[in-house]
Amino acid sequence: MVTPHNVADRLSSIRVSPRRPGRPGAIAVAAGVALTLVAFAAGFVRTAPARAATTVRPSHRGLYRDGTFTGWGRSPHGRILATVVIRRGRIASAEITTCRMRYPCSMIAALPPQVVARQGPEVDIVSGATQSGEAFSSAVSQALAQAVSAGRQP
Amino acid sequence: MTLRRYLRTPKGLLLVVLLTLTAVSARVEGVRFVAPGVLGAVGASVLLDSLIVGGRRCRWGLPDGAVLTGLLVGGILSSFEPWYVAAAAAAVGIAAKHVVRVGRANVFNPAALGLVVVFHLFDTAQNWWGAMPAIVPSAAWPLLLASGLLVAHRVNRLPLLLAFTGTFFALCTVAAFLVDPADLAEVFVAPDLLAIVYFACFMLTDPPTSPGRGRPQLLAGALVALVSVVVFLRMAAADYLLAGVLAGNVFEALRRRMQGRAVAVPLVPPSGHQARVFDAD
Repeated sequence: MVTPHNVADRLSSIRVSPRRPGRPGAIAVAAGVALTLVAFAAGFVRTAPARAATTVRPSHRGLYRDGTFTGWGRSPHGRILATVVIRRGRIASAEITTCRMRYPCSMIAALPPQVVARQGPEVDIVSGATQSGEAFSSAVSQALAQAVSAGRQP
Repeated sequence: MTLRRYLRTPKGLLLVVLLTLTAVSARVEGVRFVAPGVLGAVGASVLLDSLIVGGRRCRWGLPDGAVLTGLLVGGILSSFEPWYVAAAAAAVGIAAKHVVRVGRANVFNPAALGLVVVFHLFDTAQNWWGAMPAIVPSAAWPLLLASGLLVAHRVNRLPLLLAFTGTFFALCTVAAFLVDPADLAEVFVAPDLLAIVYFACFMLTDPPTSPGRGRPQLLAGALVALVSVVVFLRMAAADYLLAGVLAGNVFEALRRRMQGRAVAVPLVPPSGHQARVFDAD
């Protein structure tokens, strides 16, 4: 019966003589490299469409339907979930709901009020957090895109 | 020990490699931006380690282990962090290295522990600029892979490295089928991919805090990968790799304690001559 322990035992016990004691055999190393490459390639292919996804930017201002809308924004350093509240067709509030960034989202804490003030996803560039700011702007755009499409529904 | 002979030891080799990678990356990132953090981290760790070791044993000299800790901390923390944050991270790591011990070996990787502590205390950013994310990939990848694999081979930690990378990418791939693939998309491309390789080659393979033999290395590598992926998926925190290696450090400390072995396994480099154990003391 093949168990993880058996596999571990076999991988660690495979030897190519002559070799120094305590050093892994060439076959074990090759197996480890092969596992890494196959697992990486499968994951790379699986996640490729997500990396290629483009950001939706709403172009119809003033057509937002009232409600609470959320959207994800991506960057090379992670993702941000923004929540936008629409009241009477205008952006009443915007906030960072979930921060999944490798940088602290406190660096872009000044951006959500700008969304309300400007009534749109355009925000200032923050030095040292450029991509975090872009991810937030994308997240707001995604949320507003839902508000726009919701506004078009009968 | 002559300089030439010192550079042939695993510690000397890692010092040369990290200095090279840091210098190459700093040139692109901007020396004036990254220098305060690196100098702060190296200075704090060397000063504290010298005071502790010198005061305890009346033995003075350059603590090369502390230099390595400082270079790792400086190369991982964002250059936008003030120098005293890097110094604090290095100091915490060095202090823990002398306080939290099992027998004669430290439990935690000093750089990893210091970075995790300042991350939770000060909400610090980690961009792993030492892994050369700003350098053209055709130059960064060969340099990082060649030097990393050389170091891992020299300290006899290739099984640990491969167990980690294989398990990590396998778990991420499986997770990409179970959750939104966008959650894991960044793991498979730079700069995260460079950070993962840098981490696996230079931090995971730290001899005093990692197993020296085959089967425990496989188990430790798989455990580090599992904890890293769980932390990444549950919290998406910047320190997911470092949290993983700390879990691996605890595993190794418990394993050593259960075996009644208080010292790290002596290293035997491929050249055949006996190398010094990595620990700075």
